[in-house]
Amino acid sequence: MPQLFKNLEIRNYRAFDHLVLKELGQVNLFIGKNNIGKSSLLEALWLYANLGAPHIIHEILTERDDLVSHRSLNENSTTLSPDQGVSNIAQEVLNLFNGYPKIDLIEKKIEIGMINSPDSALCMTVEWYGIDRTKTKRSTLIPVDDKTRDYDGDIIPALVVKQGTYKKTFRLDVSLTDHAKRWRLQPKNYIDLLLPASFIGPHGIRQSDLPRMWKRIVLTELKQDIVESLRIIHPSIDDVAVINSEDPKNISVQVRIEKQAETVPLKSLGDGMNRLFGLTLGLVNAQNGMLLIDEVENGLHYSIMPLVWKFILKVAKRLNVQVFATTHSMDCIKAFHIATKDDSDIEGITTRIEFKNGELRISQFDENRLSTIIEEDIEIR
Amino acid sequence: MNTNRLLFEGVDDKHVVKNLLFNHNLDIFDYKEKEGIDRLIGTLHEEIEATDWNRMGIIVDADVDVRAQWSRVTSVLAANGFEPVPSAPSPRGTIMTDRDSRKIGLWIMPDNSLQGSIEDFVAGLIRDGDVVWPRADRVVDEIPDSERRFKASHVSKAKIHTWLAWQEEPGTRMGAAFTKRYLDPTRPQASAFVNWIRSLLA
Repeated sequence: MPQLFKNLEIRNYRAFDHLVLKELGQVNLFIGKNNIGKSSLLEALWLYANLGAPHIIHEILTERDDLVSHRSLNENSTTLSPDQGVSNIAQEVLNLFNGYPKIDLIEKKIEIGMINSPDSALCMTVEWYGIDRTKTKRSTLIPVDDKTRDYDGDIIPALVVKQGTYKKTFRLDVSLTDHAKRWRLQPKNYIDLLLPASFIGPHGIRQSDLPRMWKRIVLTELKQDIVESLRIIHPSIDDVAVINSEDPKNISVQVRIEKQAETVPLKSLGDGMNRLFGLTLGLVNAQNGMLLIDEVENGLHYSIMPLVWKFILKVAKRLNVQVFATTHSMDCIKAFHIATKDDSDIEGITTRIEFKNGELRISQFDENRLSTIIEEDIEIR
Repeated sequence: MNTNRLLFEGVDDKHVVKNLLFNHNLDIFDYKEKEGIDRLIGTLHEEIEATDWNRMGIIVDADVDVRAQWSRVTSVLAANGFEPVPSAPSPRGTIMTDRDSRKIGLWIMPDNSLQGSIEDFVAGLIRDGDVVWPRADRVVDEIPDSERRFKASHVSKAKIHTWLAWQEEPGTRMGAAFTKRYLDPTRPQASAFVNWIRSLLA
């Protein structure tokens, strides 16, 4: 299987006016002082994998506290003409666009994909539509010219998401959560376009994602990978399971330890064990897709980082997963170097993203350059 | 906190410069020695990528093939956006700047003339009227070619170490010769170098 992204080009997404990563490996480590750059990058890939799905947009905007609380508005009261302003929902969505443009002026197009590959890139734009109420009870949308917005009737902005032949229009007088409910009811052939992907945040897997991710692997050999990863810290782990996965209040991860009658909660075994569980569950859920990890070193003692990276590489190779991780830690960079250097099949690329004097700067280090940096004790973070 | 860093080919140059700068109250650098000129040039691109410096000085010897090394160094600097790219070393030392106002200085030992080495630099710092130096100079010159065990390019090295062997504490290293006051940190040779350091820091 070829590598998912050989390179990457992003336009107009969040912190990025125009980001070009000329080279990507099967495993990629991102560093840089300014956290907004690294997070924007992981988010963009997460959106790409999920075809710009409304629940993902909602998740991205809420995790950043950008989503202002808004009352659920009915269609009539939110169908605003431009001089009355636009809905809160539209304002929120504009936060995805570089430079927080005003809706009147928006001509920007978010593009996320490989370099010079417009056909496979995920594109997002805000466009204006007139509402045609003549035909049926359900109103239909008529495209109007973005500049003149000349239409005899109410007009609304909408988020248009495209990738190849896939195209979805999300009216921005309807909340993202409502769009999300409808989006999940799409025909299976749309769902099949999604790329398998897992996003592991700085604090691990979200409780709400746990049942779905667990269910997918519980009766497969992939569960053994999770046990194996837990043994990096705790060699006498025998088995692991998510208990009460249907009940959000009582859901818990339990492990069985060799020669012990009772299972113990994973939580009681420390941050490192929980981090490993999250990373590996994410990894085995991302077969033929991508694993996105924010602050990979969180909870993990530096001395085991080389083993963690070696494990990630081994499983990523077997399951054909492309890995994108961020870190603040020099020990993590060193561990990444040790693991990638030892594996001749897997190319590891380290990329620094920073904003300096108002400009986006990218530096990429292949395995050889990273060797020099580590041997010469050079501070690249 | 960003630092000022000096890169050297080896440990001798590092000690000489550190001690000289100490005498001028300029011992404010992170001194980093590389194992030879090839390593210095080969790792320069990565050193420039470091995020922890504002001023970087590169100090190399004008020994064999200095012209080729000069163009290798300046092409790495040019590729990293440092300007202006000089065609030849300035006698006062070279200084280049990037768009973030970071500065990189280049000094070729002893005096940017493309001839000599750190030992010639040190020889230039021997006090006026030193009675042992002319003797050391002559004694080394007098060894017939057939009896010399050192390369022609190491004549200055042989002379300096001969001279050092005849001090109050024979075998003192070049750097320590400042502390023991065998060397004079205010000689013109030293001033030119110190002025280059000051303009690098400016």
